[in-house]
Amino acid sequence: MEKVESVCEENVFNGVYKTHAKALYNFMYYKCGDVSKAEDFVQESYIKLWNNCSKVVFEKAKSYLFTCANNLFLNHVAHKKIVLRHQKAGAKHHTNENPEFLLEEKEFMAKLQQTISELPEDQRTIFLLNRIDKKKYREIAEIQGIAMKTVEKKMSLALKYLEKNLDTIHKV
Amino acid sequence: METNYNNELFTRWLNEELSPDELREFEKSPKFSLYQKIAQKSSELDTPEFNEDKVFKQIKTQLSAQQKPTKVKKLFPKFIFSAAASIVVLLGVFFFLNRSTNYSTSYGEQLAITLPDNSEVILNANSTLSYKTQNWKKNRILDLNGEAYFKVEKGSDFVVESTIGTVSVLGTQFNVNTKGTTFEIKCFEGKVKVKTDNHSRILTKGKAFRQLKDTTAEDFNIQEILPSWTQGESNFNSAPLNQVIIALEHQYNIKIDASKIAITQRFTGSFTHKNLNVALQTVFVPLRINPSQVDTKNIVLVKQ
Repeated sequence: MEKVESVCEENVFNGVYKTHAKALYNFMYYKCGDVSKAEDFVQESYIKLWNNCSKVVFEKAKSYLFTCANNLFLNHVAHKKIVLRHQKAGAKHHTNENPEFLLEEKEFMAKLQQTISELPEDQRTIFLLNRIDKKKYREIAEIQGIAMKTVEKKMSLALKYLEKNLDTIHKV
Repeated sequence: METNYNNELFTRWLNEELSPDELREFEKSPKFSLYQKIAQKSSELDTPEFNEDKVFKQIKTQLSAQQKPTKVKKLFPKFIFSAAASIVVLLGVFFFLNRSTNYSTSYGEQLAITLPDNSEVILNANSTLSYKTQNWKKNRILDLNGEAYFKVEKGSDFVVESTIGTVSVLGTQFNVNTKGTTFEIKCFEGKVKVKTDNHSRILTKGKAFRQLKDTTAEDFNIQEILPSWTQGESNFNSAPLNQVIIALEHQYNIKIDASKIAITQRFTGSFTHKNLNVALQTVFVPLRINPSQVDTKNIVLVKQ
């Protein structure tokens, strides 16, 4: 018989932290755009998980954490105007880099970031979970506790908004 | 319409769920390069560094901080208090059921007591009497230390216990004297059963029994109808002198030093409870003993 893992056991709890902390942190960051707030939410969610470890089965720990963090976020900063400051990352793929191209790229990136910041909180979170964390819509729906159709709908709206705003700056 | 369709393809493309046909179609759309750029550039975005270890440490410190109070062990677990309470209640009930009534008299005092069954007791000087109130009707047992006169109502066995022996009766009047080493029973009415370690007697009206220090037993007759001490004087019938001396001591709260005289003498007669000097004279002059008063409390007996 397979051993039932209990979140109350310290090594299991530590494992849950290792597996989900970063994703949870990103999720919170997309939502609130505040590094220290996101850290706080992660911390509080894990403390809540530990305190309720007997009531949360191991398989549900992840969704418990995300729901918990989401609730914390809603309680604290639901209506705060936020600005995301994304660091540019990723290797440079292009070999044909001339100054003009680089400038265009830079401009596009700036506009992209600004547009993402302008998105409503739910759309932005879904978009970034998909793009940065490479999460499928089903997984996002699960994390957010909403229907997959809703995720698709919100993603579609986000993409529409991005398309509209970035069309002008995009040069073929 | 076109835009909406492309938007739908775009949405599904990002979820990697387009069929090969749909993918080809999507790639042909005029804005494909924009879509591609949005998709690629947005995935290049990065989130701020997440300090995993730092947050983990914070979680741990906060957890240990909140755990401490729960780890406090109570010095006395809660059940101890309930156990203590029940013990108190049990003891209370025990003592309530077992409580006994005590009577005692001091030097020269007498006390008339009516027992729950209307039996009467008159307690002579410097004596104590106790009995258990609980179930008195069925269990008439008294502890006596000293001298007392009993007028017993009919009923169950009436038992007087003393350190020397027990007296049990069946409705009668009798006197028990257990002062010092003396154990003297006088029966004034009915029948009395006397039992000591060495002797056993059934006394009828007018009979008396006495056990002395050396456990020798004496049987004698009495003429009185009531013990004389209840009438203001103490009566003795060929009693050992030390019994008389103890009676005097208890009656008048004095100490009598009899070391200089022969204590083996017997005394028949009585002494009054009203006047110490008269009492001393009546007891000792006939025996040719001179009671000389050292002070108010001490008397030395000297041979004349």
